[in-house]
Amino acid sequence: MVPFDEQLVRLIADARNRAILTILHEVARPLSTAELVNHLSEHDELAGDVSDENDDREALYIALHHNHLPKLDEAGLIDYDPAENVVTAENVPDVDADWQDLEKLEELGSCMRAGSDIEEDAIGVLESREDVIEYGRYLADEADEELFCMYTTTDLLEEEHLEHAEAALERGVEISLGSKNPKVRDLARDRLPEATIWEPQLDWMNAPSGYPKIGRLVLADREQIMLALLKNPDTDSHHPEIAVIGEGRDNPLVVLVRDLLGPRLDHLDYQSDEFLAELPFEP
Amino acid sequence: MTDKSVTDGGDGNDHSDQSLHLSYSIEETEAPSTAVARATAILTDTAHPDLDPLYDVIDPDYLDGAIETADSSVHAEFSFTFNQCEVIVTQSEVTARKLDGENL
Repeated sequence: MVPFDEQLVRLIADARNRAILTILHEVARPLSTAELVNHLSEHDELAGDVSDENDDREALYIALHHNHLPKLDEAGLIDYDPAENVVTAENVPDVDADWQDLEKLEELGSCMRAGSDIEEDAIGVLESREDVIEYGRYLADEADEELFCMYTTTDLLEEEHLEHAEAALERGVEISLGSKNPKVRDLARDRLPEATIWEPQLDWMNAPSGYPKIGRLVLADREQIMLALLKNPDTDSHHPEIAVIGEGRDNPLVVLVRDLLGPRLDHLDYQSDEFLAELPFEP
Repeated sequence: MTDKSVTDGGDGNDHSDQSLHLSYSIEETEAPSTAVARATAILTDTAHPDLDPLYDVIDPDYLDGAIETADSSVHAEFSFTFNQCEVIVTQSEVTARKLDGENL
């Protein structure tokens, strides 16, 4: 791992840093350092670490202002103004403060590496279903104008992902969601009335039988892609998933997917069920 | 609470404008970096939020790590300039001295 990424992983490996990021993500607005101390104290209480001593609060404040916050700012994870004592999140993925598994942390590190501007050509790999879900949510949050998704089974539309898609719709992002599975289309139509729901005609998306096969595809603003594969299900009902991700207009994976989707991206409207329903004749 | 001894190098006045020394004993449960911040805040009569962050000078985690994990035979001592004070940190105490215009 490149030193930059090691530092990033080391930062996220610290439970307090994860708590800070989680809180910032939840309140979704800038916080004063004092407010952050309050949130963290509550957070610690929930975790069973009760302490309302003024001394400990002071020590926590000092640790934030002199250590955690400047470090997180330097890594680009937050923006900290030490003169005004104001903390702002820098659009990071939702980091679960309860994660203890270091393997997951390393995968998140690779997730974030793909999300930063280190190399346009870099293609990252996500190795677990949790990371695929995480990154899907991240893309939904990152999209500025367009979110293009394709799914093959219903259980790939997680509740939280739907929530992030709803939030994206509220930001004015155009969402197109395609699935050959009518259940998925119904669910999506239900929850995301403003999204364009359609049925893909692409054979490569739904090759017959056999694993591994494509599970989901998420393309944000036509420049950030996640392509997830479903592996052979072993014991649990959920399929294990892996994914490749790429970022950048000229990133090879992004270019490939854009080419494969080709005119489909432009003709979304013509494929939507809404459009087909409007036609005065049988399509 | 514990005894934080504050001694000055001047005329016995705690808030004099002359260069002031402060000797601060680090508590057992206290991190050296926290002690540095507290001592400097007291010495300069400044609220914590208004100090420049210690991380700008030295990484508090490395400072704490070096001092706290060192074997008893090690004499670890760091000195640096922090918020216009000369600060010296050892395993047991923080010594701070205000640097006014003449001494810088």
